[in-house]
Amino acid sequence: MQPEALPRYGDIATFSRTIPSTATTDYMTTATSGIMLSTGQTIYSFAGVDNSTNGMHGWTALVPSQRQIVQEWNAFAREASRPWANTWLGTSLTSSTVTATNQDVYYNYAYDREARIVQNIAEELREGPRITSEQRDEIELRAKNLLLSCLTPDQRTMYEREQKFRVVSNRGNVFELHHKRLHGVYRLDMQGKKIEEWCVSPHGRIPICDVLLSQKVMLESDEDSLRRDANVWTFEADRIGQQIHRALLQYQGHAQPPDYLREAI
Amino acid sequence: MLQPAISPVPATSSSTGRIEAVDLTGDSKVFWDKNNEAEVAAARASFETLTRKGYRAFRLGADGSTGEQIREFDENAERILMLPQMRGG
Repeated sequence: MQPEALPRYGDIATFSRTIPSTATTDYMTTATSGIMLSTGQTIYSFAGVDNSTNGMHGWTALVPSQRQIVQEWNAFAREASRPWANTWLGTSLTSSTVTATNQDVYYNYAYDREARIVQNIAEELREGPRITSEQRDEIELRAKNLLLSCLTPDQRTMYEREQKFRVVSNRGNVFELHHKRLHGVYRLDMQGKKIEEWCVSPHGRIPICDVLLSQKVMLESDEDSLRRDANVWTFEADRIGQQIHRALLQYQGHAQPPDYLREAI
Repeated sequence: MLQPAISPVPATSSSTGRIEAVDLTGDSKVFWDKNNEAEVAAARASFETLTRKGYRAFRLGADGSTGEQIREFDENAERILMLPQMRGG
């Protein structure tokens, strides 16, 4: 399996059958659409998914250059004709990239999540002129000042110390907002334990502090509305995914997944 | 317990207000004096332009505390924060 045409360095391109994706997570990444991302200097991410065999299987890696993308892609394509379990285990499990099965609810969870990340980054790259690092610093500082102007003393202290702060929503729920563009909103339980992860941010390539401010204001004024816009994952889903991953590691080398794994799913 | 915010941004006088619109540059500000019709009209026009683009507007306290979402320009507001539409990531 080969992409119809590899994009030139700097392009944002779409493959018809392949599904490149995103940064490595601690257990799995895949995506729904074939987008290769680059800024002209660094290609953000790339991954492949093939649905021509037994369901879909995924592979992902951070790759710093076009050349490495081609090498990685060719390696993946060679593996793609093998049974899916072997393909995954043979190509995906490295020290920095691990994966899990797709034949379950968990797959849909990760699949959708990563696809949206890629699509969002692609949209952002299409927007606006490139800015210099000096301009970026100035913009980030301006956004930080605006954010700080809207935080309470406790929130400011926590943010300056830990790059995160807590917000009580209009529904009385407690959230922790982390200094991250994506996947930085956590709903906490009464003990302060994370129970949900939300991924939601404003349209456009805006500074991270503006992202945080937008999330804060939306939570304080209309949590329900923000939830409708967000992709929400429970940490229960993570737990299931990690169980699947451990089971796959245990059965590395098997051409097909063991029956009990299917049942567990 | 959350405390009232301390603003590093100088507070405006009681007769002036500002729109802070989150954007690529960090934020764009529009100031108006509610006794100056031309400034109020310019601020209203900015407000309406942004809302047509899908921005949501929130009235903030002078200390930055979140107020209510507003649909119409309020010339008596001290701070109006305008946020782009949110989307799932």
